[in-house]
Amino acid sequence: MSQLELSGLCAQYDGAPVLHEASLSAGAGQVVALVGPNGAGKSTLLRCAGGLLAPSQGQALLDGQAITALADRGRARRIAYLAADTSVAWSLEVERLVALGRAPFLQPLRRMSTEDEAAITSAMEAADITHLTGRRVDSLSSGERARVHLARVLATGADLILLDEPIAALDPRHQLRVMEIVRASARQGAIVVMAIHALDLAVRYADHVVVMDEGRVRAQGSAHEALTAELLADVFGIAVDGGLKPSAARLID
Amino acid sequence: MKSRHLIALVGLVILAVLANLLVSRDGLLLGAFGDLLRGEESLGTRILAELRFPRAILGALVGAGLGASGAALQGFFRNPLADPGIVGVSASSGLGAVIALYFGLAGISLLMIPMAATLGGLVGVGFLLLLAGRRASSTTLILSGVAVSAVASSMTALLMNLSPNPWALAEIAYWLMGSLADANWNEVRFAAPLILAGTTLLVLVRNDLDPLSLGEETARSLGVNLPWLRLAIVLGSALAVGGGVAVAGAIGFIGLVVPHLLRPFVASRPAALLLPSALGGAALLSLADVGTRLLSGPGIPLYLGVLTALLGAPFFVWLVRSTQGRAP
Repeated sequence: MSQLELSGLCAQYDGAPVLHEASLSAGAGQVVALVGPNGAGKSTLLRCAGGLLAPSQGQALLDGQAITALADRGRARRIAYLAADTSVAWSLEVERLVALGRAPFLQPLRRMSTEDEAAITSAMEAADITHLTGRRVDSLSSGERARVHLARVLATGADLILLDEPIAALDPRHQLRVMEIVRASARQGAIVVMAIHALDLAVRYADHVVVMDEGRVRAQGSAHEALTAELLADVFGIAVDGGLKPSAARLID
Repeated sequence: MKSRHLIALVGLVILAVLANLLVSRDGLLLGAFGDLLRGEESLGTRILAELRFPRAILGALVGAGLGASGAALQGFFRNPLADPGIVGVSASSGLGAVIALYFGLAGISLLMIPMAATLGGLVGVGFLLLLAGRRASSTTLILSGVAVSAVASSMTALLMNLSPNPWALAEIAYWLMGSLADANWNEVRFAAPLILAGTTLLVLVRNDLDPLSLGEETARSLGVNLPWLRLAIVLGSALAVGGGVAVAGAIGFIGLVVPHLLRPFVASRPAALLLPSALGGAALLSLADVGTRLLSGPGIPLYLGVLTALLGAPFFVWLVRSTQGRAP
């Protein structure tokens, strides 16, 4: 069982501090939602957890090991990361993009193993994109493209999945589909940490909600503990009449 | 790439190299080729053995280096407009050769020019890495490449400005136009190891180019060691292109055109494009060299670099217009 421990993380870009003393712990099977206004430090926290940015203070540990101390490929096998910017430079085929999730396992000058092939097939099934095989990513709708990128992340079979706003710019149905896929991968034993703006979906799908503002963690816990009326007013500048309720939308076939 | 496409490409390379070996303005050198196979000696066989063979081999090698480094740089910069010229290798290799020509080092040994050109390419790359820093983004690296090119070109222009007599100036100008007409076995022995080493380095790191399609940060998250990849791409290109510039002068656009033409056959995968681009570069440069011989007038040689630029520049314009706003 994997365990993620972030404690007292501070980070800066070019000397400008963007994260102060952020702490968070999550175990296998959990979905953690990072919520907060733009610029709150959610992406920076994800980068630190992914070993892509070295914290200036504090520790990011996966199963007790410092994430920045892991070797590149070893880290890449255990931690999958989906950036907010999902632009693709070339007009790749869908299955080729998903196969990139297996890049950390590829041996130089060798073909993909049957294990790699199986991981790609099952990731494409989980994200429901098998019918898109052979299509070029730049010909897809944004909803389809979001699921292709998600399948790429799932194909790695990582212990820790970090998602930076995976449902931004998606229609309600696609938002639900992505959240269902995320929930299912946590059920299979992954730790999922995702930045998300849709509070009602965070309330519904996350086991643990972390409210961030100006680089600090303002509150965390279950959705009801974290997202209090005062905090919503203070951090987001919004009031929710009757309190924040989980999204009641459901998929119909 | 499907195997029938690969076989067709290899066939094209063989045909192009044979054409470069045998086609001349007065027809085919088939008689001499027959003599050579029978072991008889004639003027024709000496032309083949001492001029045409090294020329055909160099043409294929220089083209392969340009094609491979074009594919590698386009994949690395995620930009179909990237080209060996862009990182400043061509210009700084050119400067090295011009320094050798200016100071008359060619009089010491004919190999001084290729040596100075290769050294120039490596110094240019050194400056590039200093300028761009170890963790430079692609944009920084492109801008640094433009800066290195600008410095090298201005120094080259200065040396041409200062050249003591019209003959020295003409020598530099002709060299810069690029040609394989004076190819010989010494140049093959000098350039082949450099070009092969550079191309091999690029081929070895090509798998990291696919994850890079998703951006530098995502590539890092997929285990790509970016500083190492950057070094390998730049050094591999310096050797693969610098070795070619060293013996053939500046030959542009091969590295731009070839990857673009072959991209549809590899479903746009940057890693899969590398080897085919080396083959395609070999074929295209060989054919262009045949073209220079057929199009040259008596006493007025058409230079290889001029021909590739004449064909490549309109292509570049078309490419700029057609790639705006969509993924290639």
